Amino acid sequence: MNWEPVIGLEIHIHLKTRTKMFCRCEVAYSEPENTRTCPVCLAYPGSLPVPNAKAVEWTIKLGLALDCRIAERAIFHRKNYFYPDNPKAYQISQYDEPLCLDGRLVVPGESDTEVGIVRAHLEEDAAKNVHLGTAEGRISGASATLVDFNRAGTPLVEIVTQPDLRSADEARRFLQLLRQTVVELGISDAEMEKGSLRFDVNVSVRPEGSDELRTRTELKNLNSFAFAARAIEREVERQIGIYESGGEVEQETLHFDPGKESAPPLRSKEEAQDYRYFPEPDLVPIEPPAELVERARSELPEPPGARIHRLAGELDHATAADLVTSGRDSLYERVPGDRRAVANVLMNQFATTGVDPGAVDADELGKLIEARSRIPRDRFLEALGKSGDPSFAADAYLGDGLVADTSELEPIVDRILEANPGQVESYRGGKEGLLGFFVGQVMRETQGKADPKVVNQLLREKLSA
Amino acid sequence: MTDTLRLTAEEAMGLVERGEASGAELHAAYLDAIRDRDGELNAYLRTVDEADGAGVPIAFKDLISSKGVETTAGSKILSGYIPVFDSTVASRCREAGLPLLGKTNMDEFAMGSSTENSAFGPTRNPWDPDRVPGGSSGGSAAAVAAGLAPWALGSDTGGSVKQPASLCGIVGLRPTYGTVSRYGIVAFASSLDQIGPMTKTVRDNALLYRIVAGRDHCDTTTVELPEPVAIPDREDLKGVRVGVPRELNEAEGIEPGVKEAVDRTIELCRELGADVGETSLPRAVEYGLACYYLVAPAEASSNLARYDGARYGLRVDGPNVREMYEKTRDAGFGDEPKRRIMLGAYALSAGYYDAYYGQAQRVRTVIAQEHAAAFEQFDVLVSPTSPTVAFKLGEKAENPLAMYLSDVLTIPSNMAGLPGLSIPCGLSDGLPVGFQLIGPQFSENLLFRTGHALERAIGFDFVPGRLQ
Amino acid sequence: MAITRDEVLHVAKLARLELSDDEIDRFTDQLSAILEAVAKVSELDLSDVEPTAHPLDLVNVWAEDEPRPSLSVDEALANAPDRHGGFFKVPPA
Repeated sequence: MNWEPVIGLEIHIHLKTRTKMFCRCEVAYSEPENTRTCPVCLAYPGSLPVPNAKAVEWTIKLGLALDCRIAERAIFHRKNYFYPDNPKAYQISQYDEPLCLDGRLVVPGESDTEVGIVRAHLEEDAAKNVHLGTAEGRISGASATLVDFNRAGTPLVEIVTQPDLRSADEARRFLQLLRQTVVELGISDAEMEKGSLRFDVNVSVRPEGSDELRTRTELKNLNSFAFAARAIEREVERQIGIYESGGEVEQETLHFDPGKESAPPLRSKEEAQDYRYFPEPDLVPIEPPAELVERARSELPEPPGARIHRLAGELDHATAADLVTSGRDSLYERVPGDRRAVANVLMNQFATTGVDPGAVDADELGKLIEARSRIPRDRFLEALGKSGDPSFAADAYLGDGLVADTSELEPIVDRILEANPGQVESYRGGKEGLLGFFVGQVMRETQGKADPKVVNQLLREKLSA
Repeated sequence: MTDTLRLTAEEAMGLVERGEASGAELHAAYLDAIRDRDGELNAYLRTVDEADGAGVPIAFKDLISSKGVETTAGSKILSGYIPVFDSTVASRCREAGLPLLGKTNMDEFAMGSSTENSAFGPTRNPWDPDRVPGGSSGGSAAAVAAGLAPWALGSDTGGSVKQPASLCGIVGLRPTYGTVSRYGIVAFASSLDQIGPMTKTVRDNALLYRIVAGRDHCDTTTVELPEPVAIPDREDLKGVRVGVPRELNEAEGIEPGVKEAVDRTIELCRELGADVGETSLPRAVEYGLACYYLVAPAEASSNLARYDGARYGLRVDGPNVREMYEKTRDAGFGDEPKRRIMLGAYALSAGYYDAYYGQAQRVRTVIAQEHAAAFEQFDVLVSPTSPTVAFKLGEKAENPLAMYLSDVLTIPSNMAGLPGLSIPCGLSDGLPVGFQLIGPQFSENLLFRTGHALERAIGFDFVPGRLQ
Repeated sequence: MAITRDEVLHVAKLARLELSDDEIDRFTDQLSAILEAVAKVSELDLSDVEPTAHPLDLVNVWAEDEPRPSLSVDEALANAPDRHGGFFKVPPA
């Protein structure tokens, strides 16, 4: 029996607005505790929420980038539950009338995967709990909970996908693509380490080709895309093992330990919570004005997925994807010259220099790349390292046009040595003056274009071997 | 010596303007009066010694956040809570120079119709201390009636300004929903709560409404007034079409003495030149109470969830946070909040939402439509404010449903977000009877005009007989 | 009974109210009576009536993303029953 994984994702993204979702406290990242709070985000009696206009606009932008339908009318709902990081004992979120619905994100690959986006909605983040009295800050065994409300109220967009992902790797690539889309929109830094991107994964399996949806487990607290891919793979295997031995998969939540990947996750059967959703009476509905939506749509950059598709027409898919995901495709498109050569340099030597692609003079870089076989390797790297400087000019590095590329010269040197075994033996016998003879031969062979220094170097190495 | 019993806010303003009394002197005079007479009444929970303004002193119901002054909402769970910010209405009063006299007693979290649900003892009616002043703004009503404040602010959700005004013989306005900010007001039911002026006269009421009303950027459910507040002076009702909804005026439980006083007042409307006619609110009255007692507790169950001992107020400790929540809330809430929280949570819970809360919000639309239909023919609808005069302490306290019926006449227009003014229109067995005037949204000027003309014609003496 | 003892217990739990046995009995009776009364709303067939979203016809009320001053730590914690430095402190979750 062949099985296929059925994977869906729920992603939370911090919007990098200046102020919180429902109050005008500055959003804090690493301020001292409780220094970015007010009666609203502390839920003092009588406090009332006031929505952040920018957060609404950016959510609409994200929805459009995900090809969603923007609701004509969206409202906020209260999601009621008690927890120390939830000061009002309800979170203002969206329930059945969210801002964005029915989108899709195409993950380019050997074959593209279209992942449905069920919805993207706007809500507020919770405060931060610190569990006092344990070494690693885990929940069990703590003596007290300390609460910092700086984060409480930060705008969050929640994105829910259809269970359209069919492998751990696909899920990983989806997350990378989503992250890049969000970052390129300028609405979030989407960094897991900073907590501005979080996600949970729903995993189930089914016989390949069927369309049933079996019991799924939820994976929470995964702290990197790579870790998530491994955890998903393990969970898929576990579930297949259960079914194949005649058992049933139970609905569970697996809480991972971000500090210890190898630690088995804590399993819990979370009681279905009754959140008693009802429309937020302190907030009026949102009816996104047509001009706002159209303006947002006109400001959308070409999404990464589309760019990968386009470049895959002239390069292989993997290189196209790498260029786009590494943020070098814009430079690639501006640099003239042989496509494969340019892509190759950008993804390899250029990548190691750390130069900001946006700072580079594309024409000069093009000239440099075209001449690279005529420049010594270390000089070429040096030139690349300076390619972001405003005064960078390729000519300064092209020198005399001599061939210095060892990969070009080596075969020639080898041939000369092979063709003159007698002189090789003499040289090795002690007649070091013969070096000049070999150099001359190489120079004749390359019509004087070889860089003598490099030729010398190569001959010495090979002759002393 | 200032006769605080009889002094209206407008007269006090005149004294201050003419330099005959300073704000501080007035403040001191009222504090003296409170010392003399409030022991018996328990209208105030606390007073403010320093007069922080040169104008006419004012009292606030204790759910109005006043920076630096304890605010309990009548509940143990907020005992000792001192807000670090002013509510918007408090700021506006401060900006108008009104010094705060103190915080008045109320039914806990505004849940009640008699102020017997206060965690700090009931307030007594200045007309008869064996009787309730009404609720939940009973403290503010009693304070104004007994000359312990020239004017006060209360709050009205199901009738909590209008009904105590009625029972204490003073004027109370429940404004159009959205015209007075709720920022800093301890929330009971968000889609119904409104702050309302409680005063001796209709002109005082308009003056105070003018100070607090208007859009607030801290409360997104507020709007600008479409026209400025007009202080009434006409004494006739020519051109005013007065509608008498039969369901409001013939509801079960209306005492004969109340009906008599109200009928006389309706006749007075005719004499003053109004066109008076009968109308109907077919389902609004019959289903109003049920609708209110689903919507309000549902919102309250959510609004009161933040009282958990974590950040302010009472805390009863426990071995874990969940037990702390449970013990704190059990110790801190009285019976009525507990009942309403549970009722509300039930009405919102999975499986029951559509039948209860969802359905109630539809009934609400029907109520609004019926009032709108009546307002096509009439400018103002009238009825008794309360079916009874002030009842005795303890009489309804044990029977929640009986207590709820006190609001049967005030609730329907509240559900539609409409303004309502209660003015005293006479006595029944020596106790005040209130006359309710209901208008369309933003019709406060018309309500003030109508109320003022009637007030002048009726000549009700707002000083309780036994205090004269 | 419009509401059973178990349902009262469940709802009390949802609302984080720890009730004594005596309270549960009393509230079960009272809540039952109240629920029977409010269930009156279901007498009406309102399938073609929209629920009231808001008393006023307002939409799109929001504020620009401009910061306002926050409270100081001490103001924020002024009413805290327990604190640990700049943190609010509660029993363990």
